[in-house]
Amino acid sequence: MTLVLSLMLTFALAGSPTPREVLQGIDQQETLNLELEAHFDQVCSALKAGRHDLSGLVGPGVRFPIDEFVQVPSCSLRALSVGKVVDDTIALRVLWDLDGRDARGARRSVRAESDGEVVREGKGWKLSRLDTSNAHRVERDAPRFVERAAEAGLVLPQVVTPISPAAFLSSGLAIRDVDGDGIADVFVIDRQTLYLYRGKPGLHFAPPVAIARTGGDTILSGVSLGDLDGDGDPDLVLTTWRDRPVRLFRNEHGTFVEAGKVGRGGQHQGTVLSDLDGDGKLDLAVVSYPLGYAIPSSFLNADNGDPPELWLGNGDFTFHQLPLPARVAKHHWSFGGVAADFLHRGGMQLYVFNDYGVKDLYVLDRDGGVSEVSAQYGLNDPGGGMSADLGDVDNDDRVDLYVANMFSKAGTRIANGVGARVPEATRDLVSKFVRGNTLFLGQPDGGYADHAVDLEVHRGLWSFASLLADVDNDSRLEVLIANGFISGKKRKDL
Amino acid sequence: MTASSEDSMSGFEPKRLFARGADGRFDDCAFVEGFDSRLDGRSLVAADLDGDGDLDLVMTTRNGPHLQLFENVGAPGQAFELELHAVHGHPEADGTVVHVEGVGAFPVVLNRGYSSSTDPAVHVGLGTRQSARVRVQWRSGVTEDVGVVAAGARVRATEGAGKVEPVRAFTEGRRLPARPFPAKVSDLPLPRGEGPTVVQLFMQSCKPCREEVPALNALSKKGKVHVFGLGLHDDNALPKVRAAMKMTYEVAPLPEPVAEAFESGGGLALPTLLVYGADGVLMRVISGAGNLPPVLDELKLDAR
Repeated sequence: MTLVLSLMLTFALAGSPTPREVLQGIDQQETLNLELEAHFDQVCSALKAGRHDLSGLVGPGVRFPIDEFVQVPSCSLRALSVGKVVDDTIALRVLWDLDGRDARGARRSVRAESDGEVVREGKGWKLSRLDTSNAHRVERDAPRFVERAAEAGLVLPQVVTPISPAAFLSSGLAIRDVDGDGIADVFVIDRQTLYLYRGKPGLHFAPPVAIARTGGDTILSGVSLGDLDGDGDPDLVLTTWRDRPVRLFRNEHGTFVEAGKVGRGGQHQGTVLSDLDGDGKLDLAVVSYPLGYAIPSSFLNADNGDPPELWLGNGDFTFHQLPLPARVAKHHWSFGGVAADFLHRGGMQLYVFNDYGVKDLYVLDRDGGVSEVSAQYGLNDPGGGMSADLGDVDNDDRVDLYVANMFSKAGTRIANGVGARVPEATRDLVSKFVRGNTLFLGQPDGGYADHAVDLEVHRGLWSFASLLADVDNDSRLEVLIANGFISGKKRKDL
Repeated sequence: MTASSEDSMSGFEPKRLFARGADGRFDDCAFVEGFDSRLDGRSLVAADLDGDGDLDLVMTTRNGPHLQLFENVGAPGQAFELELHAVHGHPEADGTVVHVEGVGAFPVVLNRGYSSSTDPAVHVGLGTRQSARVRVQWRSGVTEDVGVVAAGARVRATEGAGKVEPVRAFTEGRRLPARPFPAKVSDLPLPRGEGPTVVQLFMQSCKPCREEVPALNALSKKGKVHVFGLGLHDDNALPKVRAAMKMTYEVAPLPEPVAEAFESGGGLALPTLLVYGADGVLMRVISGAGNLPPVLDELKLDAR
């Protein structure tokens, strides 16, 4: 409902046609897409059930490379674009994926974005043609990763039932060696409790210890580790969603003692730790996501969130606020940020990723002032921003920026439904919003250029975390995405 | 359209692991590399948790079990990790960039991704190289050559020292032995027989497993296809389980390697049926109850 209301507000700003006309168009497209998805679900269900012969279900012009598999536990078909109905036929652009095992037990994935066609059959549609000749294949004899949280002792003591609107966003994970034994320790937020799992040799963890708790309708929203007092060990910063100050904990030989608070509170989503002003002491950027207090004023450009709070550290668990001038402060819905010298000035800038709009790049000037320059440097990246990470993706000795947004069936349907009913600029903006993730590659001139689409690294689905890491030590960074919004009892997607 | 608490919205999504190919484009390798969770992912951190020189993954999830640990047991490759200690500026050296010759640039950061906080040390994969020259572009503005760093250890560079010091060598990582895959029916602990075979992987508490027993009993009785069960129960319990489930076909304990061979995301979906042809070669793996008849029709195994 929030989405529809936001869309109405957004398109109301866009002028003619009326928001009602636009929504009627989306509704018509929605009906068609639901019919297509019902058919695609049938096709995938048959493949996952072991059927290779899909005659009767699809036309002879559809030839999935199914004979490469003995098992297909995962199958997906989605319409990226849907043409007009002409003689009970629709031309489609289809994104399809098959994951499974071959007769030797090797894991294999085959996928492509292909042209296709559906024809009317009864009250629904039937896939009559799909050109699968451009399929990509990847294969491994054995998987690199084995899931073993339970075996290692990384199990939460209890499953807490969500109690507030923010619970489905709540998460917090921090991993560092905090007790100096050379083994990484793991901090995890389980909504109202922050747990510490001390690492033991051989990839095992001691039973968790609760470091901090909260109650009522308050949710813990983020945990960060950094050396706040410069004594050589990482201290802890904890944020809360629901009008509570940021909490600081001093690391005393691997145990954590509450050592201060910052600010008066807000709907804090997390912090970024960095020496933003270059004085040798860690500073805090606190970002907020006011879910439950407001609805976004626009799906495409919400301006009723909260600007980040910048707190400059004194090196002793006290901080003084650096106020953002009104002309600089962006009232966005922020999930977090990353700090780096994006502009090659020898200082640090703060990149804040926001839902429902553009991202922000805050620069602390040498005179103590603050400016916001994301658009000036082409880094504003419209989209439902969820996360970002830094790394040299193309091995050119320049740092690149990967930004996770959203790519969802609902978003694709809306983009198709909007169609030609809105001004071109709005249509382009909607297309950018639903496209997915962004990869800003650093350029020789110091700027950035988005190459996510041409390098085919944009479809992270409903992304939350994004991570650049070389997991196979081949000297090339992989892009990993933790995704998925809400999996309910009913598997069918809304 | 209205939403209820039982509805899904972009739920059950397969995680993504985009790996860059020779042409510079990325392919999603999440499933083939075993990062194949369908839980609602939130935070994600890569860290060498067992000190063996490769990155493991920890992910928080909205829905149970809330934490997943993906141990990296793949081919290790060459790597080093570099801790940085700044003398001018904050000692954790955030904002520093490590330049590794022939590899690229590595920024030092304390926060990354979604609500995630990480070790500021940089992890450098070297591929087949044994070492690489490293320059550190400190936050102070000074760029310092700290020498050639060898693979196989975590080391530390202190600003101004012009060299790295050892912290610890990587340990020998756990590498899983190649998993036997039951590509032939003779790979399973079952009586040998001629002709096609259907093997049900089951456990008693699995309701769909129980529901498909009558159809499997009937298939077994027809005699054209051998039917066996492999149960997630120990040897002693199996006779009682077989009786309780009213199975008329033979059963045996399900060997762990066989269960692992068909796992996805840390679990085995039940019921699973393995369909072998007359030559004993695995032809299909069927998940879910009620899906066997159309596959038997398609393969014409039941009509011989």
